[in-house]
Parts: sequence; C-alpha cells; structure tokens
Amino acid sequence: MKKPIPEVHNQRLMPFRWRELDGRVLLTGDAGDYAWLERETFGDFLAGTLSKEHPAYADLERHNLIRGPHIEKKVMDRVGARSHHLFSGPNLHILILTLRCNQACVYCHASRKPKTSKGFDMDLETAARVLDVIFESPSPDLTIEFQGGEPALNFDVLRFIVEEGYRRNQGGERNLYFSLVSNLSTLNQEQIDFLVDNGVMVCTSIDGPADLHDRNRRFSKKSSYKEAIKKIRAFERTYKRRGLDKELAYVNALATVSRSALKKPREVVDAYVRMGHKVIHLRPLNPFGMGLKIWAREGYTAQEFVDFYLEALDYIIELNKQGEEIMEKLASLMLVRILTDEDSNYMDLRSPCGAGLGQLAYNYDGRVYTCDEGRMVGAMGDDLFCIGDVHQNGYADIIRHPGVRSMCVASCVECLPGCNECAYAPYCGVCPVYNYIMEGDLVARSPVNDRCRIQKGILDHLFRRLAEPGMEDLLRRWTESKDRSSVYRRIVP
Amino acid sequence: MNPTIQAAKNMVSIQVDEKVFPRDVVVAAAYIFIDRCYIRLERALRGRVLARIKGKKKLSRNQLVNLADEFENELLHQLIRRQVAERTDGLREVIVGRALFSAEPESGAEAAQAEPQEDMDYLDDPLGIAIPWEEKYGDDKKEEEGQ
Ligand code: SF4
Ligand code: SF4
Repeated sequence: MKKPIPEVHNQRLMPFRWRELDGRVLLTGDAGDYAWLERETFGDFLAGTLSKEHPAYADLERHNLIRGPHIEKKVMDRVGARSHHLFSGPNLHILILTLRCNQACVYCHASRKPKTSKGFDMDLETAARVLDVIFESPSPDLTIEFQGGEPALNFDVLRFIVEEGYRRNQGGERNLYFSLVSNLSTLNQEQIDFLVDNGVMVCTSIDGPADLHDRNRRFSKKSSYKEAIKKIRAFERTYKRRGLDKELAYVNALATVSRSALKKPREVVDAYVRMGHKVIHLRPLNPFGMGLKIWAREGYTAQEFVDFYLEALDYIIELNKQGEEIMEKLASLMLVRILTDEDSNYMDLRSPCGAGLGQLAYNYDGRVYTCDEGRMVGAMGDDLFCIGDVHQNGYADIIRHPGVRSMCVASCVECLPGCNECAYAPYCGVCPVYNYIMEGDLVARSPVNDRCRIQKGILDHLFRRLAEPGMEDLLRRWTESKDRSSVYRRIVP
Repeated sequence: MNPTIQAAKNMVSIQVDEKVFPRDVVVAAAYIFIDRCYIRLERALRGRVLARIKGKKKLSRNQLVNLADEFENELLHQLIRRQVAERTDGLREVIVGRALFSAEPESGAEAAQAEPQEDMDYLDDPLGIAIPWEEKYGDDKKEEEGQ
C-alpha cells in the first residue's frame, strides 16, 4: 500500500500544485515552473526534512519551488508577464460575413444556410457599424477575422471591410491584421491577389488525406480536397510572385478530427507532410451549435480523442527525430505555457478565457456575442451569449454587458472548483460555452468534463515526454514561432 | 441522506442536513435539475431540508435511484464551488477587475500601453506568492526549522 502524503511542515515552500503521474509527483508553480519528485522525496519535501544535499533540492530551487532571496518577486513578475492578456482589451474580432456555404460538412453547425439562400449576408451598413465598434476597442492590436458559413461568398463586403479598415487606421495607431477562414473553393485569382496584396492571412481546413477530407466536407460532385489543394497552390504561387518569404507567407490549415479520422492518426499527419506543411493543428470536434443528432453520429468520447491525439503526437515527434520539420499546434500552444513566460493570448488557453475581453463575434445581422462559439449557441435558438447589437449599442455598452463579467468570472481557472488545485492550472483554460452546452452551467464539474479530460490527457503526455532525455530541446523548438507580421501587411498603397 | 424512491409518484425525496450542505447549496443544486424535473424544497425536522424531485418524463425505479445519486453529487459540486469561491474571492476580484478595466474604452487604452511589470496592481500578489505556506493554508502546527 502507498504511504500517505505527510502534512506540510515546511515554511520554505513556494505555492505549488501537484499531481501524481506514473508513480512520481509532478509539482507546478504559479509561473509555470515544474519539477518531478519521487513520492518519498515529495514526502520529505513537505515534511521539511529534505536535505539540501539531495539532488532534488537544487532542482526545486532552480525551478523556484523553494523560497529564497528575490524568488517571490521574480515569480510575481513572471506571473504578470504570463498574464499580459489582462492588460489589453478585445483584440480578436470575428465577423460572420454570411451564414451561406457551398459545402456541406458532416459536422457543420446548425446555422449553415444553402449557397443560394437570401437574407443571411452581412450588408455594408452593418459592416461599417461593426468597424465603428472594433475601432473603439482600446487594444493596440486588432485582428479582424472573417468567418461564416463560407465568408468568401460575401467577398464584396470583405473587400469593403479590408479597405475601410486600412483607411480608418491610416495613421497606423493600431497593429491591424486581417484573416480569412475559408474552404477556398470559390476564390478566383483576382480575389487571391486582393487577399495577398492586402496582407490577409488565410486559414483553411484539411481534415487529412483526400478520402477522409472528401467524406467530411461534401461538395456536390467535386472533391473538396482537390479544390482546397488547388487553391493553396494558387496562394503559394501568388506569394512567390510578390517575393514573400515562403517560410512566413503560407496558407494555415487545421484538421478537425471527425469520428472517421479516429483510426487514422498517422494518415492525417502524413497528409500534412505530403503537402509540405510544417504545422498541423489537430482540433477535436466541438458540440457548439451542432444538433444532437449530428453529435450522436459524428461525436466521440474524450478518451477516443486523446488516444487519437497521443498517437498522432508521438508520430510527429518521431518524424521530428528523423529530421522532418513539423509541429502540432495545440501542443505548441501548451508548450509555450509550460516552457516560456510568453502570453500567446490563445483565447481558449488563458485565464480568464477570451470571451468578450479578448474577442468579440459579430453575426451577419449585427448581433454581438462573447465569442464565435457563443454565436453558434445563438444559432441553436439560445441567445445567452449575445451581448449587444451594433445597430443599437456602442463598444462601451457591449463590453459592460453583465454577460462579459459572468464569462470572465466563470473562466478564472485560479478560482474554479477542481481547477484551482489542479497542477495544470498555470497552463490551462476553461470554456464556459462548452460547459453550458454539456452541463447546463458555465462552471464545469471538472471530474466529468470531457474538455478537462482532453486537456489533462494531453498535458499528462506532454509532461511525460518532456521528462525524456533530450526531449525538452526538441519540443522547445515548437515554442519558437516565427514572427509573420511582416508579410501580413498591405503591400499595395 | 437516504433517498426515498416513490416510483408510483415518479418521485424521489432526499433529506439534506443543513449542517453539511447549507441551504443555498441545496437550492443551487436543485436548480440544476429544473429542466428535467419538478423540484419542491421543504423544511424538514432537525435542521434538514427535504428535496422532492419529480421527473417530468416517466422514470423507472433505476432512473429514480440515478437521479438521487446525481443530486447528491451535485450537492457536493455546489458546496465545493462555494468554498472555492469564498476562498478565492479576493483573487477573483483582482483578476476580473483588472481584465474589465483594461477593456474599458479609455482607461483600458492606458493600461494596454503600460508594460505589465510597471503596472502592477495585479502583481500586488493576489496569488499569495509571498505568503508562507502554513499561513496561507491555515496549518497551525509549528514548522520545523531546517530547510
Ligand atoms: S480544466 Fe481540467 S486540466 Fe485544466 S486546470 Fe481545470 S481541472 Fe486542470
Ligand atoms: S467561452 Fe470558450 S470558445 Fe468562447 S472564448 Fe472562452 S474558451 Fe473560447
């Protein structure tokens, strides 16, 4: 039988959280430092009987888990740097240019409308009001992200927003960026030129090899995979013609993991390697705005996703060891939290989460939501996450809506049951919209929450792998992202 | 807590000791069930609250037993939620206050310009980093010297 962990009799402990993993104890500090101890040693550490000569002692000291001169101040400063998102307003503004789409994905959310429907596009007047609100945000960085439906179906309004956005930012007071999330299929060369010349970042979905992608993303009689690849190549040629560095200017892609992908982790990774992509973002299906019927058909358990993900991750690490340069995005975002003090401001891995305070989502009709996921819940007929309407409200009304405060309170990891004592709190984030959909409450019951299970499953594995000799150096490379802002600027006057 | 199953009435009744689960915890737990159940809370004898939980749809005996189990788990969740909320009240106020302030149209702009290291209301140690462990967690035993 395992010996119980003794009581604390050591005044030199810095605040830490801990977790038993594979028979050892992982200790984590508020600034993300971590150290491993054998169970016995952990007991000695708590009891205050761990000798200074013990090798673990120096390790704990090095990782700021033992009090010493200046340690407290150092840790406090680093906690501040890691929480930089608390010092800026909403910087991500998601615009739903249309609910229409020309494809029919098996996991698509309820709001999608057929391509020929009328009355589901953002009009110019609404777009101008949205820009008014965006430019009232105090954030020095503004990213305007076009989503849908298929946002490129409303390209005239996209063009207006980009041009008008640059006009309003003529003095360059803000760092203004645009990005487009698109299946790419409707874009012609003139539109591609416009996007490249105006520094609009482009992100698409590639769910894996052609058969898997085409099964997930139905496109009348065509192959959605071939269409996407054709357009990715067209972007690459255009970037090249403009003399842009191909290491920086490329189409981002993410893979939504559907049920049919679960048995094919390596095939999904190989598809990205074949495309020459250096980043793969494996994203679990989420239940936002998805009808229960679709979830029953396409959804899966947290464990099924974790099994898929870990096999894919191990395979990617193996490829890295063989010299292939490819990284997984979700792991890299978590590794940034674990290995650095940078605040990547990823909305779903920060505390509080980005809802309202980091991002705002504007529906085609001008209604404003705490985030796009909240907007998807609205599409199911529940407007709990709606915090205003650009036709009636200014930025101040929207940001002072009580819903923003509620989301903020509900996503302070440090103050939530389960999370506040979890060893992964310094690296993790919670999602009140997810909790609301799955549990009818903004605050999760973490022991039964699938999102928490996924985060824990991935973090457990990352820490296990980080403990292997040489692995930290390899994984640290995934945290060194290149600054791509230079290519995402307007290159025409 | 010993739930009483009344299958004929499609109902389960649970007496909750208010010393273990304060009344606001019982109310919060009951509220979670109102989409699938009708709930009635009554004062019972000796500092107890009686929760009568009736299914909106017809439930089997097993489903009623599960409902009682779920209610008991929910009581625990709500209790911990309140305890954590009380314990982290100050920290939450600092974080939420800081984040909301930064998003304000004007004041936020100033805060956003300031380097976090120089604008340190958040870093007036809301996490209690500088507070010794035993003081923070209320261990009244004397610590041993040595480390
Ligand atoms: S969501 Fe889960 S893994 Fe993340 S901090 Fe909370 S309890 Fe820990
Ligand atoms: S509520 Fe969820 S989806 Fe919305 S910003 Fe927060 S973590 Fe992201």
